[in-house]
Amino acid sequence: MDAERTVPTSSNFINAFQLIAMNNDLDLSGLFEEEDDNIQKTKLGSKNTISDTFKKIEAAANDLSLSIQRQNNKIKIHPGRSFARCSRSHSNLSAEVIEVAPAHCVVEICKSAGELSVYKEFCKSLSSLLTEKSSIASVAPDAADLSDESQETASSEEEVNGSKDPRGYSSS
Amino acid sequence: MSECIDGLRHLFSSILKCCDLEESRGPVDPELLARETVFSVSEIEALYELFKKISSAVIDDGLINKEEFQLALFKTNKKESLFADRVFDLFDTKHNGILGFEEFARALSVFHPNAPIDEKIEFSFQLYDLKQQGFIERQEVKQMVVATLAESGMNLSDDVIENIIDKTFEEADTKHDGKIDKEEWRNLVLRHPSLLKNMTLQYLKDITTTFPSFVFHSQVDDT
Repeated sequence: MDAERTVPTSSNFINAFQLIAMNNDLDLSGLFEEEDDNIQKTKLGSKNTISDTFKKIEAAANDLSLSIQRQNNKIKIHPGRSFARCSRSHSNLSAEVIEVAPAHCVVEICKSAGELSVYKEFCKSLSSLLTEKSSIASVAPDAADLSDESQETASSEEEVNGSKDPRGYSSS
Repeated sequence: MSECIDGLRHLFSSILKCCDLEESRGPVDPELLARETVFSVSEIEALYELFKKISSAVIDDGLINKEEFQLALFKTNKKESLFADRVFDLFDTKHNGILGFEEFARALSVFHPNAPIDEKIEFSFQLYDLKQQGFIERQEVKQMVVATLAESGMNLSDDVIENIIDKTFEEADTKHDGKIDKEEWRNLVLRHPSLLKNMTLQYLKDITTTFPSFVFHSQVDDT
């Protein structure tokens, strides 16, 4: 059950202070930043496991014809289907998944360059996927588009969203 | 230009004497501050440029009030925030509801990448000790977790939240007294340094380039 997690944690529950440290209100870098359309951040809640959350991110990206590149718990999102190095455009959009409890994750979407509209559409697309009650039946990833730097083969078998009920966590 | 500055300085210092102000508005002694913080003199001067910008946003009085602080952090003064209040209170070592430059610089010094980790540990402990009782209790942790989840748009059941806190206390509360004291906090963050990630602002390393100060160079050169 724990094989899918690449980041070693002692349990499926995030440390409370780790969670607290994610709070934007504690991020004083705002003092140094100008109000800037370039830098945008959003957090979305996901009542899914980490792997399901990743699938939804992939689906949201696919829906908008964006290609993705996964590095551990972070997905980099690029416009266009080609992910050859030279086509890495000026866009800098990423989604990071943080597991908070079993079947509960927070997705941090961050844009530090690139078009605001792409970012907004992606957030919207992902947000609606995350709030969907149904399981992700056919996220048939175009395998060619995915370039996993950490192969997560186990997760692809997990079509079953076992823990969908709000108290979905394995007994500790 | 430097005559102008001199004139201003004299004006300033006479005003200060006249009003018997406790707050130091400007880098009255950047070298002193540089000695007592992690910043260099030029970084203090650059920091002062930032301070001026922030402190003039609402009332141009050379001091940062809570509203200006919120404005600087969130780009809006409409946001109530438990954490921003705590941070402001910790910056406000004189407890008079406003931040002078000295308080500003000394507090930010803790966030410098080169600041000693002990300072970061101390600051963060006080930050989370909402009721300032000298320990972090469960209820305070819960309050902060709930506030953070709300901000993330996450709606967790109470059970899940309790589980998160249980696990945290299992690890942190080595004395099993239901509270996290300073020593336990220290041990926890030394094991998990990422817990202090919000206690470091990389921006502070580049502050002289972000906020070049032209004006006060002459002050340093003067004897």
